Amino acid sequence: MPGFLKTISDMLTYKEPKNKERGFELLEDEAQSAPKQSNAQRQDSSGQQNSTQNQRGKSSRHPLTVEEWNGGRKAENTEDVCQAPNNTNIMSTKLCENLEAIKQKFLMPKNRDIIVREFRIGRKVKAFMVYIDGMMDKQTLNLSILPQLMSRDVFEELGEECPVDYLMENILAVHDVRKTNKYSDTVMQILNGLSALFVEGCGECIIIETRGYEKRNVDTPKTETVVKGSQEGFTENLRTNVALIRRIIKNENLVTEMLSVGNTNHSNCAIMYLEGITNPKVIQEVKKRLERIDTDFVLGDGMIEQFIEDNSFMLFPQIASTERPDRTASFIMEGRVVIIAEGTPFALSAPVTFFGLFHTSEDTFVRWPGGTFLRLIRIFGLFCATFLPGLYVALTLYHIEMIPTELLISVAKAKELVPFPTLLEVLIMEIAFELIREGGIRVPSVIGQTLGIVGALILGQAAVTAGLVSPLLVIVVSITGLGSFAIPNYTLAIAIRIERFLFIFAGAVLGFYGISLMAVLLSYSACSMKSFGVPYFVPVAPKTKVNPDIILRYPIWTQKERPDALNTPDRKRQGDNPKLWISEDNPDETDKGGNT
Amino acid sequence: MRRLVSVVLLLVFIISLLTACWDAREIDEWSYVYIIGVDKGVGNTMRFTFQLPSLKHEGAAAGGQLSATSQYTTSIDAPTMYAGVNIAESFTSRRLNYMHTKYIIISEDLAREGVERFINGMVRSRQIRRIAHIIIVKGKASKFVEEFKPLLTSAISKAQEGFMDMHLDTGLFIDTSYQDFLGDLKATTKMPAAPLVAFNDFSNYRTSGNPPKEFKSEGDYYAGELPRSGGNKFEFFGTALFDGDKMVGELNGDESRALLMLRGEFNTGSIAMADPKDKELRITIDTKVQKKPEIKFNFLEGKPVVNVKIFLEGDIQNLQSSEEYESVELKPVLEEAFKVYIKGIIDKTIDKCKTLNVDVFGFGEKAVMHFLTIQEWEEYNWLSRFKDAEVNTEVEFTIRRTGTLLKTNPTRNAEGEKK
Amino acid sequence: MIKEGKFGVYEAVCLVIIAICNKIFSTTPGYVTRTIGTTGWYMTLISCTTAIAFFALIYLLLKRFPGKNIVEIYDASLGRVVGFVFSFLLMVSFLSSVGIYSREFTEIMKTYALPATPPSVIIGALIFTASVAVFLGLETIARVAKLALYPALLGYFLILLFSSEYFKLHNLFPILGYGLDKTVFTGILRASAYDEVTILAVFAGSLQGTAHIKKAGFISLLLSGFIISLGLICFSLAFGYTSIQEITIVAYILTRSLKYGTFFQRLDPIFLLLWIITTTIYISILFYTTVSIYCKLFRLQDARPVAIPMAVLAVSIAIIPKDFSSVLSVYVEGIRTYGNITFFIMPAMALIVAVIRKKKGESECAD
Repeated sequence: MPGFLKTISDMLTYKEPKNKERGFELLEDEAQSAPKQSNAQRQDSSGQQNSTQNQRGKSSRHPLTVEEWNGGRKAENTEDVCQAPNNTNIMSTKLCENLEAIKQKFLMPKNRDIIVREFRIGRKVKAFMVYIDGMMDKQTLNLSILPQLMSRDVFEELGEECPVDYLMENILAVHDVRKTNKYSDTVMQILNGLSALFVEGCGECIIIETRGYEKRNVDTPKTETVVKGSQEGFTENLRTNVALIRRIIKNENLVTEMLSVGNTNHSNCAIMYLEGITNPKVIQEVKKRLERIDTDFVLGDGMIEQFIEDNSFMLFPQIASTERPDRTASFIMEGRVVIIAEGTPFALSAPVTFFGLFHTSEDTFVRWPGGTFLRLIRIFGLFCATFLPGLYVALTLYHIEMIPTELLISVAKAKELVPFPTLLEVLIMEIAFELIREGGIRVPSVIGQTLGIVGALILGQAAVTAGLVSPLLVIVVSITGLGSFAIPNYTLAIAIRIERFLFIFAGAVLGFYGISLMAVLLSYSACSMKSFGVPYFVPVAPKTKVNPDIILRYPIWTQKERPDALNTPDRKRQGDNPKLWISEDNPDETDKGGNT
Repeated sequence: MRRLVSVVLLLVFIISLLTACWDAREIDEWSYVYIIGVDKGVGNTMRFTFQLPSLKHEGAAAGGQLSATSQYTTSIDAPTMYAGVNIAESFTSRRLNYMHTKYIIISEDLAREGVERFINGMVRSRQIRRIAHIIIVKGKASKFVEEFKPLLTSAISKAQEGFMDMHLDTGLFIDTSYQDFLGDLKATTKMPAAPLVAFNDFSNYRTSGNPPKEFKSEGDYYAGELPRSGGNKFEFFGTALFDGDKMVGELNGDESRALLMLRGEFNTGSIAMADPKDKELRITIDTKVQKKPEIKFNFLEGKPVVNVKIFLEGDIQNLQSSEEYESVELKPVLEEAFKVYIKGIIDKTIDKCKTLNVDVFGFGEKAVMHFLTIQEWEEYNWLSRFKDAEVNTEVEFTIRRTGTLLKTNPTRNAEGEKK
Repeated sequence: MIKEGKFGVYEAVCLVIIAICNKIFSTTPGYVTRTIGTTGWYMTLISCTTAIAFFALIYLLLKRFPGKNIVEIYDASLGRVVGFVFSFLLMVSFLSSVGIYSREFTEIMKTYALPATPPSVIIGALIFTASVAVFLGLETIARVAKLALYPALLGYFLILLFSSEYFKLHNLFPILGYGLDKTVFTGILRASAYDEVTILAVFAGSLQGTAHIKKAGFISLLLSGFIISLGLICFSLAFGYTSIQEITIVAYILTRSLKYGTFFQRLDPIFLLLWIITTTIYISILFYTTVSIYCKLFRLQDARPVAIPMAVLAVSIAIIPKDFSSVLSVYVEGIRTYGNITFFIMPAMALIVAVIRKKKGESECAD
């Protein structure tokens, strides 16, 4: 009974809340000003000393307690000076100083990823290895490095000098070792998954290739599927991607230059080109643009593309992006430069022209009638995707004479029930379609396909029955959507989807006149674009040598030269008679004359 | 600040463009006129009749199901067509639109007075198409427009084109587009002609009596006189002849065929004629044109002489006797008879037109090649001299095929072979 | 001096062809039939020959001063003041061409396609597109001209081909029209129809050598002569001389009359698309030429600030005539009749003066 009364009184009386704080809030305090100064200081190559200062500055500046001060003094007094060397990137020869430096740089012991394995080499010399757990290959460490180093008879013939070279040449049974004496270098390599071996008495450390992290297998490309062609696509790992290309182009002149982009995340980026075939000025321009990217964080090639392209305000893409190694290889062979970044399974290729965005590897693997036919269908899809809704709006509002009479009467009858003006119903349908398309990306793929098609059809049908749109419009919108799916390049497809709305508005305001003017305006802006020095609409405008591969694809033995606009040093691709077997089979036709 | 200014400018620009899409008219703001009929007016100078489709949905409108189009007609007395349209818009809820008008019907009495007054005015509008057909109706144009409800289909424009396309199949009337009519009206080489349509009250369809003994061809009627019953109430038959802008005469079906042959526009037709060996029987030839007619124009002592040669070919469609006309001996007989028959019709037509002094055949087109400058040609004024011209015609005819029968054997009855 | 970029022979030919042949879509074929009757097609060939003769003189002038454009040549051969006046007159001719043609085009659009739209909107949109082209540069216009020429020519030939059902040979007779003397005289006078070839002289610096100018000029004149003559033959064949004098735009009416069966009729808005595109490029290139001459006259470095005021000027000129008839009978006729003077006779005079005064330009260093 008394418990019951207490419960009731608890419910009815006011109690102060126990937790006085209002939850987590991110307030501005003086610590926020610290990152500003780090921007300026990041111009230095590593700024490791500044980062340590920043780390100290970021934590709240409370005064040191007496125990901490005493503890620090004790360390100073009892042991040798074992502090990290200040203001220098060069390693010291003392192992404990190196260890302190490494621990400071990686914010240990807070940072649990970094493992420091201290041991003695040959049971005599002190050493430690630093690596990141999860990024290195344990097999290599446990079988190829530690046993060799820890065996008793390592230092049979060694004196007092630094054993680094001796270790590299004789003991370490790993396929790739190098040495460095810079902290910045070491830190970068450790972050990439290699291991660093520090030895007592050496001002250099050994970087050992032990990379072995989880990565995705080489899989079919998700965005560019072909029927007749290789089914390998890039992955997120840079080495794998470069290896995929090297498997196709086995040429000693294929150069891979590595750069690091992104000031904080130091993403790796590879530039590949064929020396002697690619125009050196293009290579220089690409390198220059990549090196000058001054930003915090680069996730992958999408962001790189946006940093190095010529015209950010144009709708059309000026750098091609592809997921397939065979297409990348063909770009390299034509004389273009390929940029591969870590993190996304895509490769960029520059320079690119408008017509190049319409090629897929399917065209090359299929015979020339098929290739031409497929390309023509894509171009038709492009026209449908861009112009069809605008033309529909202009036709029905301004130029009804073009519609056949019977169709006109049935459309007019259907439109009797629709309360919206034409422009509005076109916009409704187009936006609904875009919503379906965007939402369909996120639906789980098991039901995604069906939902997309069924949704579009049912939506269209329901809209017609409800009297919201006229039936002809549903057809127009679906053909437009299909046309935009036919465009191979994803960025271009998005650009076309945006332009479609421009044409709809232009058609609604001024009819065919508006559409023509808008088309001319867009052509002006497209023709004034250059992609890495190559005009965008080459070889049609301006005129360069006839390229038998723009829209109509001529037979493969006519494609004798590389594209003229790239100004490659080496133009010829094929000999004068690529089908030598024809003249070899008919010996009377050769110059030699009838000698079998 | 800069952003604010550019946003304001952009807004002003967009709003000024969208205040009124001046020309944008929704499809359902128009009413599409199928036929325009022009009559002599009683209350005012002219009477215009328009046929418009009614876009009502009859019954419950389950979306997607469209009911048959019905039409309604309205007639207005007005001084000119556009004034009439303005009057009409005071009792329709939509603007009238002539972009899909296919027929322009002119009544005969208005045509006899002269069409010039309105024919030029109509074409000035951007909505009227020059591919519309000009048709002359015997009677009132308003009646025709009201009665134009084709029986075979509810798609009006298909029916309209279908009616006019029949002239390609029979040759019994011509097809004149507005473009041709207007061109011929102004041309110095030719006179215009237009198809005739009339109402048939089926009174020629007698239920008792005997057929005529002499040969009466299928084209020997004027519009409205066809002996038939059933079908649409109007019929297209024959041609109207114009002297300038006034209608002066009429051709019946046969003569229209001759006109088409002389113009080089004859396509095909089933021509019946009397059997050369037995005048009571008839033969039908499916006639086609072999090549364009050869027209030679000469001046003989200042008098224009025209030599016309028409090339026809045909297939035997029907032989009522059992004579072997397919054989090598008798085929020339048939061909000769046919040539005589056709030449008779052509000569009759040319004489008729010479009497009326209308050169609808286009002989002037050959005449003009003999003159060097326009001034000389216009001084010569061919159109006034047609009646003095001498026209010599010749017909070439070959029978190419005989259908699926190579030989007709006589029927046999109880007495033996029928002769 | 403004930077103009370079383009080659092919693009120059496309540019000049679009500039010259756009007139076939205007009121000129119908209007000129009043004087010459049925002989339009060889009258234009006479005009073409005259234009070629004059262009030869221009070419000689350009060869005498290699690498220089016509403004500089006028300055060099005629002296500063007279050269300034000549160049100024040239610029005024181009500007008035832009304005009057915009007005003619607008009136035609209002008659056939957009009756209720205020003409200022149509003219404004057109000149706006032209000024955008000025901002983007000469190379852009040349490239777009090349892109647009192929579909435009294809559409043009298709129209002529499909309208062959209306062709009647007798429409070409009487063969001498209103008289051979009238035809020849009108032909020589109307060589101004081909006067847009002078833009090659204005952009002589961008064309990489006088040999290119020669090729570009003669090829484009021959091709335009062929295209216009073909068009005029087809128009004359399809309509007699009495009908063609009445029609506002013959080409458009011809397209409207195409009819093949129940379905292929009334297809003229497609033709409208092509025609508007070529007209826009025509106005853009003439407008750019005007701006370019202005900048060269006054030695300006950047063409962009000049574009907008010049656009305002062009729109004002377009709005001057009160009605369509005065546009045709006064202004267009004026341009056609007197265009010869500024475009052809003035360079000829400059050539004569240069020869007399023995002025020559320095030859270009071998590249």
